[in-house]
Amino acid sequence: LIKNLHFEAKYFCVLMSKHLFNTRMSSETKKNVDLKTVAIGAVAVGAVVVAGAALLRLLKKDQTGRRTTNPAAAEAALASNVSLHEAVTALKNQFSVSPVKLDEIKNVRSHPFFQCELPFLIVSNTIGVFG
Amino acid sequence: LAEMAAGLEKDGLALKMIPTFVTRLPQGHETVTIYALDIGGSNLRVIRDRLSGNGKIVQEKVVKKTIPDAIQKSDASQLFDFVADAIAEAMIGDDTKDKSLGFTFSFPVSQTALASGTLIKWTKGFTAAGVENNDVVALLDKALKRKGVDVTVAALANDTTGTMMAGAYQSPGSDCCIGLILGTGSNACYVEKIENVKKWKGDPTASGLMAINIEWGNFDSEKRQVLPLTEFDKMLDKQSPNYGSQIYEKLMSGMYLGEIVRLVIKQLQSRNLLLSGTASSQSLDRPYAFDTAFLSQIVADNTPDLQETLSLLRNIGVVNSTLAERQALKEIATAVGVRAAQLAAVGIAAVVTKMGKGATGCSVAVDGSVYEHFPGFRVNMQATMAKILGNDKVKMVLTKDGSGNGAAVIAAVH
Repeated sequence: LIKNLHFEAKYFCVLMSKHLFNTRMSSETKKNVDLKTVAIGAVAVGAVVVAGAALLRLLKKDQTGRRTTNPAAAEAALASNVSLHEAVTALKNQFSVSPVKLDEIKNVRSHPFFQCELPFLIVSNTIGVFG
Repeated sequence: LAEMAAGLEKDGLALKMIPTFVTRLPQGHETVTIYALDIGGSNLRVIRDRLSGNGKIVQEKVVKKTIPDAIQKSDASQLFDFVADAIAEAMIGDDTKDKSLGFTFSFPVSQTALASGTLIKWTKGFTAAGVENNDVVALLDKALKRKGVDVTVAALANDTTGTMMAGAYQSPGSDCCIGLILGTGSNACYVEKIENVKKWKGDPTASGLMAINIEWGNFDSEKRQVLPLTEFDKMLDKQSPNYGSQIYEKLMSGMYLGEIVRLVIKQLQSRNLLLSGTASSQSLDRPYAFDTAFLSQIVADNTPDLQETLSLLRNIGVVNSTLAERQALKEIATAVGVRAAQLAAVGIAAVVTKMGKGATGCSVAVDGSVYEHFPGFRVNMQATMAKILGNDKVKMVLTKDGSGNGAAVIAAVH
């Protein structure tokens, strides 16, 4: 089983490398993948996971409860040369407790993370391990 | 919910979850004349309450005194002799025997029994010697004996528990099991099963229940993972004397709502977007210059040109303002008020869920100027709770003067 898993892991890393670096490999190369390739693959997967987690953390810090890559949108709007009306609209957004946020407080399982990202991570990692 | 559960297990966490030694709720049919002493700060009140048995509390006599500065800074004997004199004055004309008194003492107290508690530290300008680290009920008892005042101090309470007990007495059958203060500060209490209070070292209570003072204003202060803080909230927290604590309270209590809006105005002023005249700028420079009562008035202003807001601004030194500026101010004040109501509702929904009453409902006794006077606060709070819980079975009941009447109810039922 271990030998088989080892082969599957190596093969997965080869496929990953092929996709990532667009390299062409013969079947002979596939068979002779060494531990170094496995390590590179693992590091690559780890880096993707860490980057994803960092991105999720960044998104979670949005004060309005909205999942956006620009949590300081309101501040930026204020900083620019905006009208009073635009500034007030931005402020009202800052002070709004969105339904998403209320749902998060009501039940942590309704958090988008649990609705989307976690199942995605579980499925992708399962495929990764057994693929 | 996690912070509440943690606070019930051990001390020293964000939510203190303090057992209050109140173990019974009134039925509403108790009939007795009883006294309440309320020391909230420099003002004290002694109330002779008549619990008339039909859920009604009649204040037969009220004695109000301002504790002179010299007494506040004297010693335990002088301070409590002054209090005993006020109690004696309230008892004039009452010939009943076995008089009891409930004592609401709004200072940090470590309660050790229903009628016993040690003052941890003086606040609000008091410095009377010999009170800190001493049992305030014992000190009051001694003063009453010195003055020959025949009354037993039966209970020491805080305003939140008092409000819940007064609400439970005044609304019999409504399952009033939560007390909420939304005034200058904010706090809540509820009735918990004693087996859930893991840190409780005493015997199980006869009722199997214990009222828990959540001290909920400190929620999320340590982890900062839940509450949606704006840059203004963070600024207010940083400039406050208790930086880093009571963050939940800072989002919704009367002490801070006006200051949040002042900080917003100052930022808009700095960008020349709002009230940017020279005279206007200076009058709002002082921290806490913008009272929460002003917000209520601005939100309630429905005159065509917001004339009431105009005169209010002039009263605080903002001489010139355009209609557009006043409209903007009203929108900002409304947003801050709505958020406060929503966040207060979230807290109550959590407590209701903790008690397992989300589906069946219960009633919440509420006291405090923000809940009572801020326009739309009650409606927004009720609507948000209905949204979270999926029904409108949790009812809010305004319970005025809970800190006074509630201590009397606690003394009556224990």
